[in-house]
Amino acid sequence: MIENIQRPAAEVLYAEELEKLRSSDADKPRPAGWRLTPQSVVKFVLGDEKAKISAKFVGARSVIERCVVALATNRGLLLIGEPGTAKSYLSELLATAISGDSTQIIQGSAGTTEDNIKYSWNYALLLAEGPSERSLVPAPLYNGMKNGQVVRFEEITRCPLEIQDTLLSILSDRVMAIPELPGEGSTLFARMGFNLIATANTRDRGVNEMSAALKRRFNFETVQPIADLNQEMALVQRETDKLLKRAGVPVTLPPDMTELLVTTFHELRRGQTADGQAISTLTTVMSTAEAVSAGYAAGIHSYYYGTQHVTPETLVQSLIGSTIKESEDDLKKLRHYFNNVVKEKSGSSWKAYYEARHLL
Amino acid sequence: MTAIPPEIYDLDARVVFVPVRHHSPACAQVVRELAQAMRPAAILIEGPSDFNAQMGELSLSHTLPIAIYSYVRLEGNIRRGAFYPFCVYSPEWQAIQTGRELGAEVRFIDLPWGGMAAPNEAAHRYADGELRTSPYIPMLCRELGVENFDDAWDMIFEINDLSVGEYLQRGHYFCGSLRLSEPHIREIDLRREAHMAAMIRAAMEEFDGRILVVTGGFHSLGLYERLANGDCAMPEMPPPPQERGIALTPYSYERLDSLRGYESGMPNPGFYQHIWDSGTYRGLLARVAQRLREKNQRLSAADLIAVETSAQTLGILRGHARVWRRDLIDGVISALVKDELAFDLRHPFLEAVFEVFRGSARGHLAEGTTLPSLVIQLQQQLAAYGLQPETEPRDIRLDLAKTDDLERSRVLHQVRILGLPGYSRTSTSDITDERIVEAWRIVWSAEFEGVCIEAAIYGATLEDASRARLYEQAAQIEQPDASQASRLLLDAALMGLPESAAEFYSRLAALITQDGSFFTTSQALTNLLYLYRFDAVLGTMRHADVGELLRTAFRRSLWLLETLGAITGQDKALLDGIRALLETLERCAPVLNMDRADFADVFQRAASDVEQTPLMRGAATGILWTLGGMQINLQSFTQPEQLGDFLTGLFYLAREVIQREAALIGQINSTLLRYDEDGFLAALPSLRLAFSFFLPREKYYLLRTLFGNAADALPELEVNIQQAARVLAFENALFKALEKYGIVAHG
Repeated sequence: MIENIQRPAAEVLYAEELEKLRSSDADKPRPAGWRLTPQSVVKFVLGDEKAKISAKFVGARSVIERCVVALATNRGLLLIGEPGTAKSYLSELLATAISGDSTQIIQGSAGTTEDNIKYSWNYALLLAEGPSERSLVPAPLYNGMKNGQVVRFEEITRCPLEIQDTLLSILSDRVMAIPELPGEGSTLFARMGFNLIATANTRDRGVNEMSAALKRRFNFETVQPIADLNQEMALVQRETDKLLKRAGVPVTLPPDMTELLVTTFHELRRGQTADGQAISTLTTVMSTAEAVSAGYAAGIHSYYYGTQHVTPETLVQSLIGSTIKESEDDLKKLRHYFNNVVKEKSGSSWKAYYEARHLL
Repeated sequence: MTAIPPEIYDLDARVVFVPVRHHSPACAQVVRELAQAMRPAAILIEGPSDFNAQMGELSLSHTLPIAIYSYVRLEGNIRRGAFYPFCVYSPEWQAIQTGRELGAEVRFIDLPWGGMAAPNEAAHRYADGELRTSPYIPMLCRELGVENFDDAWDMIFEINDLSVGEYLQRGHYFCGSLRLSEPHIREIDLRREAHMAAMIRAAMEEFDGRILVVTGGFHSLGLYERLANGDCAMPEMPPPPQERGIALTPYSYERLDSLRGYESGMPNPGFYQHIWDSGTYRGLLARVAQRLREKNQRLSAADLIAVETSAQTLGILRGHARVWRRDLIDGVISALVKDELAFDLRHPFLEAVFEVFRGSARGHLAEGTTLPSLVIQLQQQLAAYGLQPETEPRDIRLDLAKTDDLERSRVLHQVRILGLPGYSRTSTSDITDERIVEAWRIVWSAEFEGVCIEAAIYGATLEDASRARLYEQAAQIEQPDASQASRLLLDAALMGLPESAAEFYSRLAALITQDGSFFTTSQALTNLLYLYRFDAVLGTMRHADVGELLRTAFRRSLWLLETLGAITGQDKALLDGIRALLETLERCAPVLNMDRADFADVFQRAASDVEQTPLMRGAATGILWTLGGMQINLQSFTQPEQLGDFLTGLFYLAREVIQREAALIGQINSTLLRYDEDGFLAALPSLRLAFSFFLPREKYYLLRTLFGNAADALPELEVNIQQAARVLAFENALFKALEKYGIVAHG
């Protein structure tokens, strides 16, 4: 069953671990409506060698602790950060651990309407029977409030401001008005366990325009890019190979190529080389996710068009193709990086990488 | 040694060892309680044993924090100072004070600083590098679910009020495990422990009663083993260094909290002080709120409640018995920060938290304390070099190529950085000179002594204090500004502080590439070029490093210049920057690893860029000309408002090469002759500026180029006295009129 699904949800993928954590802390106190204790939620996200819980997210412990505490104290949680820092993944993990369900998702966009967030109507039934719970088509927020679950709101800042502000009363009073329904049905009180995790990226439309009233109702957490080069390399290696395998491509990213790729991304993102020299950062996003997609593209390219091995040339090509999309300025900076930083690195693959700079 | 002997925990033993972490309030409390219960005959403390004669000075009514400062001069004229800072919550301080109250003998038992000083030995003697860097720590942190050593320590020792017995159990187990996981113990630590063990042994023979030994936790087990095995011979001591000193000096939380790396100890002294005083975090939160309001940050009562709730919940999640340091920090992040948080946690809200947690306490020595050693040392040093301030101003010329003068110059630069009044450098050489010759003016000032005593807070020797002052200035650079950082690097070199310079190298390297301004980056280049040119004279001996920086700054400046666009209004800075590039290339081509052709390409592009200002294009042309002849074509710059700017750029960069260029001079001449009167007047101001770069002799060459020998034959202008007087009167009237209408200020 799972094999046929492109991307199984976290609660399916980690069902065993969730069960293990649930049974181990069954008798311990927890916030109402939570499936796991706050401690177990942290464990689920960051992993625990002893309890055989896999590490799923690479990041500072205090960030996760703060996220959990925000949700436990009934504050909305807003994850912000550069694109590709695994904000959505973190929100998925948190929702899974807390509610056992990560699928109540609202996708924010310029076209998001209140209907997408709260509820809409089955018009055939509405005309035939009038407004009733039967003719109401629930949207994620409705479901989350009704069942006491965590709702995820992706890219909240891409929604129009007036749509964002519909969350105001829901986050503070924990109540949704459904004026169409008669009697008691006209007010939906959120059950314990309901909360909201939103994500916003700092690149396209930041949180600055968000209304102060809504900001007050969220706790903000910045998700930082991975600070440790080795951890990032391991992650990129694992994820790239996983993607290639899933695409049926019998190519893996050789470790020395992963090193080239991740080091380039890591250094350009931090604006600092491994030996402490500062360099100019690009305007293009150089996230871990982009590194994975560049590695994946290089693998695909070399399988279908190349020598079956990922070479420094294919890396440089996919670097341009998948990351440096349009900015002439970034290309200049990338050339500068090759001429000044890559040139100085030792090792045969770095030399070959440098030789491939003519492709830039 | 394979295990921790159970007898070490025995509270009834004759000698009781307390393993402490320096500056830990929990330890301080335990030491106090234990001493009161034990009523020992002697309390032996890890501290410089050569201070024992002055122990009484520690009982005066000082305002804490203060420190014992010890310095020595090692071979090769290297000075090394060490400090042993005391806060009210330091276990050592509590041991001393309680000992005095109980009438016990109080002694320091560690080696004197002179017996262990080495260039790579930590200067902060109450740091906890041994604990911090143990391979046992990462494992422990994973196990406890905390992020670092400080949090782990808090978790095990500080948060819960431990009884003396519990503390000793945990302390010996924790520190002992750390020690046992250490693959080898440093030779210097073994020597120190031998000395401490011998002092303990001696005290056991001297006194009948019980003995309390307060040392860093890392040493407790080692000392116990030595005494148990009778391995207590006094180690052979090297002869004490010729020049050394030890005295009390005021200290500050700011300095204590700024220590990094292997010098660092307990962080956030303000936090622990507050906990020591009142036991609860509440007051701290109020102070954070107050600080934020002072900084005009809005903070409502609801916000404060949110911070407190978050902090409390975080404490519960982490299993803390009460709200602690990290909980408060994270509570503020969680509840107050409503935008993206930078990687280094820089945020106005957090700055306020860290400020409060750092504390602002500044120490003050009580009356009757020996003068801070900085003051004594400074007086001696200035007298030895003949640089003491006198009421009559003195001017001193120093040629830095002479060893004596170089040393004096270093002292003067240290005094200058420290901000002592009455010392100023009136002139110095520039890059084109062969040697560095400085002129200084020295004069006595009424504030001199007061400022000296205040400066003691920075350190106990002139060198240490000025170094600390330099670091303070470095910490104040907020914008990525490479020119300021390079200034500090140059200062460090002038002050003769090579090891401090080393720290600025990396900092500057980072700043250079973060700095997005051509002007500051090229100023940095100028400073670096100066350093590179003279570093043999200054004795920094870091030629390769400066070269490396020079190369980075050079490339970065070139890059920034290329992306600069057409800039007006900063003509002089622009030209200076470009000239720095040219001078660097001319003087240091080998280290730059840069092709002259690549360099020329940049300016080729600028010279032919029609969007660029005439000034920039002139400068670029000047560079190309200097690099190897380029046909200069005035065609594009014949407009009156352009010609002067172009020539200004050209002459500034290629003055020497161009003055003998007959064809160019001819072109300028013929262009000028074509102007009508209005055109000429429009061109005149900028032309005047352009030609002002030439020396009189060079102007003479220009004339000869233009008129050949006829230049010499130019008729002498005959002016009689009356004419001259009339001209002068007219000129005066003219300037008065200009001044009256506010056009120029007649000076």
